[in-house]
Amino acid sequence: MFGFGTLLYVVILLLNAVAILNEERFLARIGFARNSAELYGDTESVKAKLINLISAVRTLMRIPLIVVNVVVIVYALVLG
Amino acid sequence: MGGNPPPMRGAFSPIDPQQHQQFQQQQPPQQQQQPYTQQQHYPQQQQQQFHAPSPNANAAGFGNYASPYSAFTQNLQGNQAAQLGMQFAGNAMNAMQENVQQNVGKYVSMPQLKHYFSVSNMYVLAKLRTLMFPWLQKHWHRHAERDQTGQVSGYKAPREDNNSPDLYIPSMGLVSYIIAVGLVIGRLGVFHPEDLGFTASSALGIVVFEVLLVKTFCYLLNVGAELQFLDIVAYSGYKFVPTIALVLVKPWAPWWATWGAFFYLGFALAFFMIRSMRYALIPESSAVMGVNTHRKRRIHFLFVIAMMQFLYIWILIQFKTS
Repeated sequence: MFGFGTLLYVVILLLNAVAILNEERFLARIGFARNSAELYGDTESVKAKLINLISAVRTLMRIPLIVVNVVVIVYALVLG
Repeated sequence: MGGNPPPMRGAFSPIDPQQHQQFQQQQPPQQQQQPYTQQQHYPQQQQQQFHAPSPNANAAGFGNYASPYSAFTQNLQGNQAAQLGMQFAGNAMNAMQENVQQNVGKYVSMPQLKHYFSVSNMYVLAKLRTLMFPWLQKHWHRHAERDQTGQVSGYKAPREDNNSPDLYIPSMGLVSYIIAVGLVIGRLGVFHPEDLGFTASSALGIVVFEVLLVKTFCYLLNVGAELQFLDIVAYSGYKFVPTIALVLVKPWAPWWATWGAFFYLGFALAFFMIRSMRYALIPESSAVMGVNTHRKRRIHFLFVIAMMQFLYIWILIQFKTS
């Protein structure tokens, strides 16, 4: 139940959840858009770090996530 | 195959040196000017060694005697194809070794890993005592390692400093935990080999989860070099020591003893985590600028990490039988 595979699924689902957040419609409205980090001018605060993390995941993980999701879906269809 | 062959090989050629000289004198001179092939190169080397023995060549010859392959190469001396093959195999071997070193070294630095495994018997005993009775420990500071000039160059190895985290106890603890669970299930009479796999998966999963959680919070709270990645892995792995004790006690002790041991050991582990991670997360010296950002948040975070230990131990002792 708390095995390694479950943990992998959880991490992939969380990454997906971050990756599908919409920049204009959602993140900008709650003040988590990428350019709002520059408004504060600090990179130390927790919020600035979160904004940085979200934008990094959205930029870097988008294409790898497509591949990983396809692999997991095929695996779940065949063996799940 | 353009590499220069080692000079000593020619010394073992079965051909007589005198004959060789004659042979070379008969050869047309322009043939010697040709770019190196192995056939031409060897006799030349040999001639040099015999007629003008330099100390260098002697040393090389002795080196060859010591080599375990010398007899082998001697037999192959006449066979050109085999020689090429030997050299090729040697090159491939070297390339493979380099490749392994590069690829492993990219993710884990070997000297750093060795540092975490340099433990002594006294260290392991002291660490186990600290995990069981952390209240007896007075000093929790790690000692700084200094080089010749007196500059601080990291922390001392576990062998020399009882407060240093190691990876020996966590790795042995993980294996022992899996075996202990297998043992207990076996004593209950329902053992199946798959149980070992399930146990290993859940134990590893919990360690990875904790490391990911701590790493994320370290990123958010700006904890950088103070808490190394392998330190986190080490502190995360110490939970196996109280867990093993509980796993062995649980099936036979009465329920109140199990609960008592669970709370005592969980509290001891939480105390241990707080005291030993404090040096990294909440530095004492408030004089250093920029260190004290998020001080309050870091204290909360440390407390949460410590309280999570109860949860982890609880999950780890709930092993199921298939």
